[in-house]
Amino acid sequence: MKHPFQKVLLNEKGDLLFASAGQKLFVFQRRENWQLTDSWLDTVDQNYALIKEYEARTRKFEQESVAGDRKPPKVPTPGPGAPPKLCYIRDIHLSRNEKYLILTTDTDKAVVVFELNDGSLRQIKRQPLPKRPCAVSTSLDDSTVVVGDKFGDVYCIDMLSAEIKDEKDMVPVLGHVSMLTGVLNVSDGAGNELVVTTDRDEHIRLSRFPQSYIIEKWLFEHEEFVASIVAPRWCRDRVLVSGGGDPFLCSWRWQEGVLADKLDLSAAVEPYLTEEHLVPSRFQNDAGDLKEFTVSQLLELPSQNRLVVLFDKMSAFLVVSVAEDGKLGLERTVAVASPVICGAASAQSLVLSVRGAENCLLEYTLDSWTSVELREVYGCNDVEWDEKGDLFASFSVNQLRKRSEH
Amino acid sequence: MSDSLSKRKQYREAKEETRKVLKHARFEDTQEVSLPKKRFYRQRAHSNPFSDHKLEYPKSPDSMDWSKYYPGFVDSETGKLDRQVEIADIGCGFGGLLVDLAPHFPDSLILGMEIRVQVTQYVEDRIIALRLQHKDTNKYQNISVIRANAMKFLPNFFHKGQLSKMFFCFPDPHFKQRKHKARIITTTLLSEYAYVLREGGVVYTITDVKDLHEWMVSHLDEHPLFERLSKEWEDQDPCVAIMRESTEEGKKVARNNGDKFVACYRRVAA
Repeated sequence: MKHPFQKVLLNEKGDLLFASAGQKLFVFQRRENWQLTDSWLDTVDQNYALIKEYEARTRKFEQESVAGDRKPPKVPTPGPGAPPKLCYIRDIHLSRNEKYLILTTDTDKAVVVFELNDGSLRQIKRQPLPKRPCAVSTSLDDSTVVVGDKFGDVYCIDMLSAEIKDEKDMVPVLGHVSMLTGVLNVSDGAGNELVVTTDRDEHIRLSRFPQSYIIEKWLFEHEEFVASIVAPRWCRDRVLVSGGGDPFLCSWRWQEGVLADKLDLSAAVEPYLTEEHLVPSRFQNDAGDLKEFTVSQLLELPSQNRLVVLFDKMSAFLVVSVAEDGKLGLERTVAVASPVICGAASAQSLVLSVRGAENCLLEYTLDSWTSVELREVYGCNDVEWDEKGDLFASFSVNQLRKRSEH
Repeated sequence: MSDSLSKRKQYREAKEETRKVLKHARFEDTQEVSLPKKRFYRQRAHSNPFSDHKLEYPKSPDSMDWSKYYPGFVDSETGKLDRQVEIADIGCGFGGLLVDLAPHFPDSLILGMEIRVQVTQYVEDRIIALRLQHKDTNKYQNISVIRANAMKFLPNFFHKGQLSKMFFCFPDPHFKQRKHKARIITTTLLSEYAYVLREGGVVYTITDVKDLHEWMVSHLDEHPLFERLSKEWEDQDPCVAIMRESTEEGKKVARNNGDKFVACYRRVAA
């Protein structure tokens, strides 16, 4: 079975499509139809951390031990019962000027920066981080990659210099005591740059950038983790829209620090909830019918002043309008044949990676909301998936939900 | 299960009952009240600040109902507090500092935050008992305690610039290198403390672990929004004296003739 695309990305014009399956990234260019122009495979060993530890121990051993008084360190190997390592390219991100592509790896927990040239990639740098990166943004001037990790820290990486820092010497520019779920650099329209960070503990924090030790404000309304946050460009630096584990979307007039609107999505998604959305048995009600859903991705459709709202494991998506003052309106619900994994939008189209009997890519026309299968794109995917277990669960954001009993 | 353990349990259950009745009420009748016994509330000194404890915290500072914590300061007309919490003791432990600060700042509300359940309950019971014992003079109405993970949720409790003083007394040293992020003073967390502190507000730190002291000093020194206060300042500040003498850890260190390292920093303008 083919590994589905776990992450897709379109450029603004919609003539470049990036898609990652497992540890491989594909670049497609639209001419007559989509053509594969480049690909990149993360070849770093999956046991990178173990190997690094072994090397460090060996170095220490060679420096310290007098001949024969100690045994050399053993080569560490994962035990027989060790679960298989799942390594992915999790994030793909374009710089604002679309000249650079940034991705994150699981193997060495690195941020990799490529220069883009007519659909082909030239690697500029690969910067490993102390913890797994999980949220990427670029500064407004595209000089810096701003990356958040699972430990709650945010680092700045110079995008263009080839210099690589030792991960031990990296100093976070800001930190939450919670897993980060989003990083987004925004402008206040008056020449000031801010960095928005969201976390698993319902927080949305606004800090100055690059003086990120100055916190401007927090936006409070979420009661569950925040999974996705966007600054719709047609709202001209005034509005943020966020969603995640809550059954609603929030929109914020963030410069005043106020909630602009809150849109409950429960009724719209109700018909699409399946057994996959049942709350785990330990937290289930007596009737056993308690369901929950999660907003997994918000995608901007700037040509329509709308957002596409994707959900975890759901065979549908919503289209929501965002007015300039942040007012939200549910425009339509679009049913999809199979559960959606992820999506990407450009000015003209929407591409969704879905999980069917045959995993595939769908491209939607924005006016009619009809779709075609991008078979030629999916045909180029040569990444196989032969492990047991639920592959789909690896991309679920619902597991960020807190279910503490103590 | 050993006898002593079940005795602890019984004691705590009995206290739980009184706590439910007394916690938020003003006291009318004149019953004898004794201070809670610490030995029934012991809990291991460490708590993982990263785990998802079942914590109650307000959605935002505006949604926090403080009236039940400081019933003596409730405005009878609005039903809300007539002032805001101004002093926070982060990781207040058994509440020694709170109790000693209370008479020094009779007009300021002081809040202890503690992550360990039983220790928090002890402080609650201690405050209930103290308030009852001093109900004629209305003392100890200005201190309260809350179970909270201050490292995660401080901004949920306090507005920007709300606090004038924050205390960090004998925090968990987290000796292991890879646990350093669990320390309560880090450059990244200091930004949050700077957010809730007003300009001119003070961060107080004290520890008996030299390593940790140096760590805290280096992180505070590095932070652009904090400026160290001089030795002379420390010597004249009443809170420094109280902090040295009153906490349970402070007394223990004194008994063992250990060192106490103090560092205080002022929140400066951005």
